[in-house]
Amino acid sequence: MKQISINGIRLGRKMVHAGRYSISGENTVPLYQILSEHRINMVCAGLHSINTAQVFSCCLEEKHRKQAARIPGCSPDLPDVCMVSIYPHHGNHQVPGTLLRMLGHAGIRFVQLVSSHAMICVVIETRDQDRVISLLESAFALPPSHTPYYQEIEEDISRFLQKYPETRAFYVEEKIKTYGIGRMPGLELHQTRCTLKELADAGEKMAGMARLDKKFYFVSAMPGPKDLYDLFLLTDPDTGGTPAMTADFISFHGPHFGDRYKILGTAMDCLAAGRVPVILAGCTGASISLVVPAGRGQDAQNALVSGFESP
Amino acid sequence: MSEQKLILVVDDDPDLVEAVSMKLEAKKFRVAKAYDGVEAMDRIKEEKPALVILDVMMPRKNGWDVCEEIKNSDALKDIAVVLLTAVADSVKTTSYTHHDGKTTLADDYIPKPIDLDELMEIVTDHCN
Repeated sequence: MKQISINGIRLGRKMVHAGRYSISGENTVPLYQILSEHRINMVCAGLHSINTAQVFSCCLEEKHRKQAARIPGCSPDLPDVCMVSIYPHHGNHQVPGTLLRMLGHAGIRFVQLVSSHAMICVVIETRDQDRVISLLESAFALPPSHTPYYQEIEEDISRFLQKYPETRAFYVEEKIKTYGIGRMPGLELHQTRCTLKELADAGEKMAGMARLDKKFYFVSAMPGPKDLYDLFLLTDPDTGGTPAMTADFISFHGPHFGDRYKILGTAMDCLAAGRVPVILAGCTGASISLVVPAGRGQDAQNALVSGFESP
Repeated sequence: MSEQKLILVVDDDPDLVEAVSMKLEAKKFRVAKAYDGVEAMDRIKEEKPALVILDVMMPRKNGWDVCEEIKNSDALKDIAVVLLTAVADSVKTTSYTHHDGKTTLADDYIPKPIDLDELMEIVTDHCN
């Protein structure tokens, strides 16, 4: 099989996974809000809010393990996970399709898969890390001078950051600065519920969508009850198959979003205040992705202005 | 023709690299990408871009070191360098003085979070 060209693979180590499944109407404070209140940053997170159920999943740095385990609704034994990201995907269906096919065929369980503007990140158990990296190396072609998968912060940079923290100015900003809030209306949202093994077929089908020269904008997958995975794919119209619904897409990113708490919580608060329902949400890398019902994208964009600054 | 010049975008945030690259491509520039300082130097030597948009805080080799390496090389010193930094207050070294008094070996710098339109203006100015 021909390898797909990408520019890099990134490995995020020493993380723990937390998640919560709830039925709408349950009077619980969302986990992302509780984590915000505890000033705990989510390295990546995903939310599926379909019909009456809401599934939320996130991974945190290992140093927050004890604190997060005490949060009501979180498991006291947060599993060790790592995050493997590939980039850039360029909206090419072959990239998530190949990744899902690979994981499904190999039977490698993941607790979350979510995309950003450039990356697709998959959260796996730490013990599967080397196997996944090796499978990725065979499926994807990297440039010879690619960045190492795991990035150590240089000592001199660490020293510098102590003196001039890059993020310091932004933690106290009145509104969270972004590089701009983008909106894509009228997209198709495809939904699949299947076992891990069946994800291989779903991935195959997704990769095949690349033939139509259409883009995907967001992909998110998480296991729900009974170990069935819910897979969502937001694409250009007329990609083939029967979409579950049409939807609008909002995405934005900002400096050091990946290192800061409260970003997703602020976005969700803004949309709640604007009475815009959220179907899917994802945050990873420095990006926030939101899928809202068709026709509500403009309302969402307007609502976000109360919490975020767009140049 | 400036529209066909090659711009190298260097940042360890792949989302930002894509956002900047898409904007540059819309302006008809050719774009190369790198995600840390070492990879950036490889691409610079290999592809000799007209301009490098360079993040400061990066793994393996930071943006200042890349900038110094470019500007101290007879073969590379004509490549324009625009630094992206969230710590504009601490921009160091001397050969270029910005209008507000900040100095750097780079040809220009822009504080984060960057305004992509402002960045495009800077790039276009330097490429012309």
